[in-house]
Amino acid sequence: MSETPRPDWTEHDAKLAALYRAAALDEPPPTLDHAIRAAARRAVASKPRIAGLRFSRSWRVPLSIAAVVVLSMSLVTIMREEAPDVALPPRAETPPPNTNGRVAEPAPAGGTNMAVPQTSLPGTQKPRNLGLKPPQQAPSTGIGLHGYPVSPEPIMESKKELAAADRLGTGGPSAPLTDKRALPEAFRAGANRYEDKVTAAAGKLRQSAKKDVGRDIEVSVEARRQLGAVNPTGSPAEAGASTAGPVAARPAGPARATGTATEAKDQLRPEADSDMRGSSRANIQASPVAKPLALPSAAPMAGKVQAYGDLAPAKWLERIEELYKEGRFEDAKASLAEFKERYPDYPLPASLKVWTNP
Amino acid sequence: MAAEQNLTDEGLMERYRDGDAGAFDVLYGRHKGTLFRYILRQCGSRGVAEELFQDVWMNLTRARQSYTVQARFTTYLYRLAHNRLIDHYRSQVGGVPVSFEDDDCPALEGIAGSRRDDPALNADHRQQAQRLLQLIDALPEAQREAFVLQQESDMSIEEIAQAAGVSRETAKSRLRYAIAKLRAGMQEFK
Repeated sequence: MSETPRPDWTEHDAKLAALYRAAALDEPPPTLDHAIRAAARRAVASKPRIAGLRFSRSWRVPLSIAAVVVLSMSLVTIMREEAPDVALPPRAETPPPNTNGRVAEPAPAGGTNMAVPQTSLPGTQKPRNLGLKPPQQAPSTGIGLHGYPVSPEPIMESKKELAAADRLGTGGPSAPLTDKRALPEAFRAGANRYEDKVTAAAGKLRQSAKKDVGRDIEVSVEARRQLGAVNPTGSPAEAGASTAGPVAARPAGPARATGTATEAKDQLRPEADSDMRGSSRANIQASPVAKPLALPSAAPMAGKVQAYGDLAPAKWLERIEELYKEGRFEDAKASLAEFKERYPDYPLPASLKVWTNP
Repeated sequence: MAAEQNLTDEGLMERYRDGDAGAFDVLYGRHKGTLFRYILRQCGSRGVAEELFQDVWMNLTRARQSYTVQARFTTYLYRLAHNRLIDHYRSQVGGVPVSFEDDDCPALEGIAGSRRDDPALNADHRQQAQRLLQLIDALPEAQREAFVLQQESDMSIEEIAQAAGVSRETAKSRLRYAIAKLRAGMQEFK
């Protein structure tokens, strides 16, 4: 009860208030007080609460939402930073190592192999060497994007082979052959070194082809000499002069840029045949296939041919077949020619008939 | 405990909501007398008043979880008490007294006439107090409620209106009429 007089009260109202306060003295009984207080404590004890948790309870949901948002944004940021490394292809652009500043140089005239150089840069894959045959084209004008020699007018076969090698090696679409974008220096240097090796190998091959051709000629000359010495129908001088002179006068010509012994021997064949036409029965033909391997010497061969002549015709033919199988074509032909001279009407087996027909 | 004594009624109720049973003890001690007398004046029976008084406090403890400070604590407490009284009236044969539903108050002229017809007049102060209580009990329930709320809790007209669930003008009319009637009944002691 308030004893403060209110503005809207009259004096009599104040007296009423005073009288009321004097009269209204009723209070609840103590037992009721005890019961009510106990019930209030039981209500609180059933769910104990700490008074200081009001802040956490009211801010629990907003803080949870904020934490989730922060975590999500952090994950998105991290994924974006890592995504470029994952999304980039294996042959990502990387700074080249120290080089000598070499630029794209034209490949030598010997042509290049389509195999990719062995030099590899970090982050790039080693393309597989498909063992493709060398192109038969004019020299290239530089190194392409993938280290392949770039030819201004590549043949279709080389183009297909390059595309196939590119796809298999790098997994991406083949780069245009005329792409002249600069390569990393190390890659270019490796390509140049590989080209040098290929050129050197081609040179060696040419040299060996020359040697083989020369060796074949020597063998032919020696064989003719041997045959001319034992030939009863022809004059030795004529045979020797006809074989030695023209052949000697026509040494093995310079091989072509391809460096194959086959082409060199093909060039010599017409001259050799014309010379031999004038000879007696020494009709030794140049082998159509180049034999870079070492050939047996002429002296042992002559002796063996004479030895077969003592055999029976069937045995002689068998020996000739063995010579063919062993790859001793010259000996086999010489022996076969001798056999036909001695036994012109003897039927030849089918395997030998092939060799008799050029 | 000393700190809780200095807290307002609203602060104590919030602490009790958060689990502090001591805050309830302080709160109960402050308002148990006034609330009991209010209920006693409205129902007219001590037994009924004790029962209703206990119910009101139990309702308060059960509703503590959802308590938020939107008005004075006394307004909230007497609102609970008013609603419990209405439920009590409805359970009675007569139902809710008409005075609670009647917003219009009779003319003050009718009050003076009734005072003259009251034969129980006593010049003693104690007798005056008793006479006042009798006059208060003779008031209509709504007017009595307004007068008791004002006298017991020092509530303003707006707070009386909120506790009673009526408009401010209705609460003002009821209070004015109650005072006028009491004033007229105490004219014998002037």
